[in-house]
Amino acid sequence: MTIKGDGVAIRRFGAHSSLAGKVSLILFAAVLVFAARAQGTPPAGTPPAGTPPQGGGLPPGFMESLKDYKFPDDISKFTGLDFLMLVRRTDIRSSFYKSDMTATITTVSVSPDRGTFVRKEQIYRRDKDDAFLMITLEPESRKGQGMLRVSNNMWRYDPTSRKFTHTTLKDTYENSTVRNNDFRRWQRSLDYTVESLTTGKLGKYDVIIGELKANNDEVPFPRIRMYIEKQRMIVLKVEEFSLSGKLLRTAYYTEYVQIGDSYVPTVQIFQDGLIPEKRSQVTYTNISTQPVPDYIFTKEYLERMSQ
Amino acid sequence: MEISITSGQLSSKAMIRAFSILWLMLAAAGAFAQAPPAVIDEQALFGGEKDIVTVIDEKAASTGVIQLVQDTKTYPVFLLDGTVGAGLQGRYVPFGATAQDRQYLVGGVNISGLSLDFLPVKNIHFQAETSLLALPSGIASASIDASADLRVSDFKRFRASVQFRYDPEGEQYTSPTILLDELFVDTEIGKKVFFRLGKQRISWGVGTWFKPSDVLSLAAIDPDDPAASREGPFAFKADLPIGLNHAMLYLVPPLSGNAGAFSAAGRYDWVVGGWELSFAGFGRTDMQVSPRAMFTFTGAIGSIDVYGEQVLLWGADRTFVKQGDTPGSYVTYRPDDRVFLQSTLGFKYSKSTSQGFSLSLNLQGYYNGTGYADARILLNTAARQQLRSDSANYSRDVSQPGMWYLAGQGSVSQRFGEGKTYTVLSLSGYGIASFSDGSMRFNPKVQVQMGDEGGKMSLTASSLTALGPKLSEYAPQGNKITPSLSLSIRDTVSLSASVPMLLQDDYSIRKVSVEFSLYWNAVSF
Repeated sequence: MTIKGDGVAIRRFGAHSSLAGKVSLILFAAVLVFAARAQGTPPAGTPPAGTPPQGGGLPPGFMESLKDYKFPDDISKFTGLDFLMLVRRTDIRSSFYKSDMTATITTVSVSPDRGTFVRKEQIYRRDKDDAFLMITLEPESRKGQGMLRVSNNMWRYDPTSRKFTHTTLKDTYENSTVRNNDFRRWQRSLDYTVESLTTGKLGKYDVIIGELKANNDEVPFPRIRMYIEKQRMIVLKVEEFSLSGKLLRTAYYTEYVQIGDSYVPTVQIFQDGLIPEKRSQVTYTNISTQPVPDYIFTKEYLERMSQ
Repeated sequence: MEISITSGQLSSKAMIRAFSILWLMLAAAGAFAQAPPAVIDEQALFGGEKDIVTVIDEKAASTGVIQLVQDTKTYPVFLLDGTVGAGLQGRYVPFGATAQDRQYLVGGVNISGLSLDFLPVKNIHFQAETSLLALPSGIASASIDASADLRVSDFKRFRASVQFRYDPEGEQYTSPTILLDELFVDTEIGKKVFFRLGKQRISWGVGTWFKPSDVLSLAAIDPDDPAASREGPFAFKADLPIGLNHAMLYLVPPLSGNAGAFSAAGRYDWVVGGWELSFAGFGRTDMQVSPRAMFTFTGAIGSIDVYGEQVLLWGADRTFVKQGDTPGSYVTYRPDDRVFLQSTLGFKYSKSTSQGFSLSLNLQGYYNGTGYADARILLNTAARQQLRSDSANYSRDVSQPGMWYLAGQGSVSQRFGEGKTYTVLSLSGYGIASFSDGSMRFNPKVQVQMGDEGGKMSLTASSLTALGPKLSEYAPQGNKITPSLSLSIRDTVSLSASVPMLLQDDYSIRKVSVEFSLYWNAVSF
């Protein structure tokens, strides 16, 4: 090191350049070797070939305990446990454990102060690995924004800064009445316990109505009231309340498609509880259960699809 | 500037109107087909003849795509978004005015975030966004961001992005300036290895205000807008995803005439549990930038998100200045024979309740081993002059010169009322401090929003405050307080006023000016 001043030029790198260069090359090689060694491992969360789907992220026995469960024939005889198992069945039916699932989702949000706003997203689900990717298709100004969630890892990509943010924090969906979790498989039977039951009618359908209370503080709604149709055991309506009992949102599932054992609510209407004129409708189309290439569930795909 | 409507402008206006009508028609066609009902009637929703369940053949779904509703888009697509308003703009200096200070009250036209998207076909997207403030004296500020995104497939595309900036009264773009933002091609081999080749923004690191591992970006982080885009280099990037893990390699070709002066950086992102760990290395053949090894992590401990970066450099990557042997003289030196450490650690927490309460916090500390333990020497203009004359990269040498930093931001909000009285009150702010030169800046903010997302009314009061000696890192102009108030009514009328106050070292007032504007954003696309 040389110290110079008052108009005398300083010496720049010299004697240590070659040593530093070697250190740099060694470090660089180490990174590449590490990468190459890891190349042979399967994607995180992917079970070995031949392993039956376990329902990634679900507790052991979640699916098996329902296999031989016998529901009462008379809905007036349902117990709290029966209803919880019914909710579990709706959770499982909202999932695709034997295949991937893709769909295009259009959300039309109407606000008294903000007018009408339309968003379109492409979603990719691999429920057996608890993998979920969502990419914005419209509006054009936000095209390519997206999020990738695998188990408890979530990445958002900001095309402006070209930066990924890895987080475990929960978030809502563009301040509409829709939340990201509305597009994923449900897991209400894990998050809630049954408090009371009644029966009723919703339109022409006989329904079992259950009041449920959250068993953790991770869910956005501490209390919900579910209306489940008796015959096909599908959710028709969910009212979501604050801790003080204020109705915050009502969700209507007005159309379903059944693919194998799975049910997808293809038309969902969300009514805001605090601003009466504010509501959203979510409509699914372009549904497919074709296998999704592994590269879809990568950060790289998020980056490539962005503007 | 004289504003008159010519026949050419009229035809532009007509074109804009035509585009708007086309856009409205397209939006309406898409929106009303799938819009929620105006009134929720449960009997209508669940009492109709048609069964609510449609059965789809499992095989058909597994071999094709089921289109449940018509989802076709007609091209070309034109989209216009943004507002144009007219109003008053003024500046008054009640205390400490000099002959150079302009004081005025004039009319102005304000174009705010006016964007045009044009898609002639599905995979070609041209976009331009402009903001402009025109006063009678001329253009007070103008910015245009234009891009072209030409895609062959998901992984193959060409993208070009340019910026125009003009801010005659600002510090940076006093003359019209065109900047190349990005110019790259994307491609892949076998959908296994992905390439991005060309000038591109590159953001490494997981920090918010301090990112010691962000070695490839060409621009420093703006402390007041740390998420803003920053210029990147011309680089060749190869990315190899391995499940959720990624290996990537960057090669930066020579920026000057020295053909041997290229840089290389490699990184491996490893996802384990709920953590993402990144190991990286950087080197440059001509050693103009110190070689370094980097480690970053993000994850969660309980409900708190944690992030951090650790960087080991061989050489400080900075020319320092210090007091010479004689009083008033300064000497420079460059320690290039030892290892330096840069380390940052941050925490994020957020919580929201069904009662309408939200809280979010982000706190980051930074130890910069390549900085001055006492950076106050850079407050001395003679020391800076010595550094400027000796340094090959002066701006880098005075960038983030401190050793110890702390930054944070937080917000608390509470929802009140419902329906017409729906209101959100929020308190927020950020702050950043250098303990090495005693400077800091912070901006507390109070906001009241009425209606959905403040659609009825939004009132914001803030006070950007910089405290520290002149030439310090976060108070380069010395002590300065800028209280501001802005009011927006139905997103149409906007009123803003700010009162920048320059203070002496003893906090007595040196100068006060009042800047205000009132605009009627009458045209909204």
